[in-house]
Formats: sequence, C-alpha cells, structure tokens
Amino acid sequence: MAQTVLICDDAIFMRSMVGKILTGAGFQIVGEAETGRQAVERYKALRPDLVTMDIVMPDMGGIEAVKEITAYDPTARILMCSAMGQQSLVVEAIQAGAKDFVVKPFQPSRMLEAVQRVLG
Amino acid sequence: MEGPSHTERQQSAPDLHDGRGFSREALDALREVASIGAGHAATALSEMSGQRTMISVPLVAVLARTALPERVSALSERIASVVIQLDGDLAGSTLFLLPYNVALRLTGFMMGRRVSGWGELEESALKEAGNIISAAYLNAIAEFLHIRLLNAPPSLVMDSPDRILGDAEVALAQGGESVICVESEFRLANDTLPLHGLFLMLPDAQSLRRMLAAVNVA
Repeated sequence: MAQTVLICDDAIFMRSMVGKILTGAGFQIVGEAETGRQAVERYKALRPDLVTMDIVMPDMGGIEAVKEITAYDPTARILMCSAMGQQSLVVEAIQAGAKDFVVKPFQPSRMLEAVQRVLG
Repeated sequence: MEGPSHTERQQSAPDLHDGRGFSREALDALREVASIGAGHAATALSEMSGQRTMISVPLVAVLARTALPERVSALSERIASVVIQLDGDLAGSTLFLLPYNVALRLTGFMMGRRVSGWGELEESALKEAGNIISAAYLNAIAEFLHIRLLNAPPSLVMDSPDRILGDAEVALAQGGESVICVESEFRLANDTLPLHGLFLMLPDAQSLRRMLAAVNVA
C-alpha cells in the first residue's frame, strides 16, 4: 500500500509541484494545507505517514505547526521545505521535531532523498 | 542539467549610491552581502529553471525613499511586484520588481512552459519565484549579520510603477527613509534575453541602524 503524505504550503504552485514529485515516486497525497493551523487539524484527521511543511504560512507558521503536531504525535515524520534556509531556522525546525530540511527551490531527486531519510 | 556551481559573474559596473549614512567601508560590506545574495538568487534560478545561470555584479544603492518613483519608473511601464513584510530581528519590507515581460518569462521557467497570461497557478508560481529570490537575499543578510530573519507570505501586484508604489504604500510606510536597492541581471543559458530586476529592502529606522552597526564593524 502506498505511503500517505500531507502537503503543507500556502502556495498552490508548490503544493502542485511537490504533489507531482511524490505521486510520481509512488506516494499517495491524502491532503493539503495552506496554513499551519490547517496542517495541525489535517494531521490529526488524516494521520499521514509523511508531512511536508513550509515555514512561512499565514495564520500559524510551519515551525509552530511542527511543535503542535509532534506534541500530539511524537512519532510524526515531518520534512521542512522552505526558501528560508538560514542555519538558525534549520536548527529551530529540527529542535521543534522536524526530521529533515530541504531548501527551496529543489530538484525532485533532492526532495526524494530527503523523504527517504525521513521515512528511514 | 547544469548545477548551481556553474553560476558565473559577468562584467563589473559602477555603483549608484549616495551614501545616506553609510561609510565607504559599510557600503563595501553591503555590496558584498548583496553579491552573496545575488549569487544565492542565481543558484535558485538555476535550480528552478534547470539551466546554467550567469549574473552581473549587482549594482547596490542606498536611496532616499523619495527617489523610489523615479527609480522604479525607469524599470518599465508595467511591473510585477512581489511584496514581503519582514519578521524576526529586522522590521520593514522587501519588494522584488520585474518588468512585466520578464515576469512572464520567469513564470515560464518556473512552470516549464511558455506563459502568456495569468491564472491562479501562474500567479502562484511568480509569487513563489519572488519569494525564493527574496529569500536568497534575506538569507545572505541574516547569515552575514548573524541574525534571524523571517518573512510574511508574499503578495503580488502587477500594474504601473505609480500604482505599484501606491499599493505598496502601507508596506513602504513601515520602512524608514532609506531604501537599499539591489539591481541585478541574470542570464539563463538557453535564453538570449537577460532577466532584469530590482530587489528593494526597506528596513525601518531601528533596523537600518542595526544593519549599519553590523556592517560598520564587519
């Protein structure tokens, strides 16, 4: 059975791109979220195998959403995907509970490598 | 595919600054940060387009805010603007400005096909391109100044220079009196025309002082 993914990004273009990359690699996209708050709600409802998470989103940012999701489910596997690749933000995201970080823009191969690392 | 390591710099060019409180050394430091940011932006363009990307040495100017209309009007009669509010250790906003025809081409590179008009996906792609290129500059500034910089979600406006600046008035009002203006030109290997644009950073007065202090001792 295909592993399931929740894609969290406020840009429809990025959700579409990430969706194509992951669908092409055999994953099933079970949901999308445009805000951090939606991400938390949809994680609880869908319990996906993997979450891709942007940092800058309206309503609630991605790092805050990671904290809430991992507080709810410490085994959640979350991959950060953000253009804000500053070292301090990468560290903050990992400390919040994200398993890896890819800086936008990225090639599909780089994203899939990170996904494999996160899913172990 | 050509990777980011193939990013190259082309000819140097004179700067346009009038100083505005920046010592010569501080301007040199600012220019260096802008060059690093432009390098990151070129790397991002190379990743997005899958093409080798060359950049010119960016022109760095510190302008009075009142000089903006003339500067922006010189870019084109119709402009696409991606506006981002800053968050984190600096306050203010950034504007990434492109002539309309360049915006169409950049969106085409993002989407891997020719773009001649705007739907939801095309606008989102352009907004994301502006967001990624602005982030390249902001990441360079943050790493150089040892600060943490975040941004709010970007907004997109396509209009005349007057209206662009009118719409950005709220963002501009939150900035100080000085504008850091980085003018850069990118050239993609499979395209004969350059991608020419302006990255404007409008820090508020306190943030500008903080940047000045940091680059003056850098």
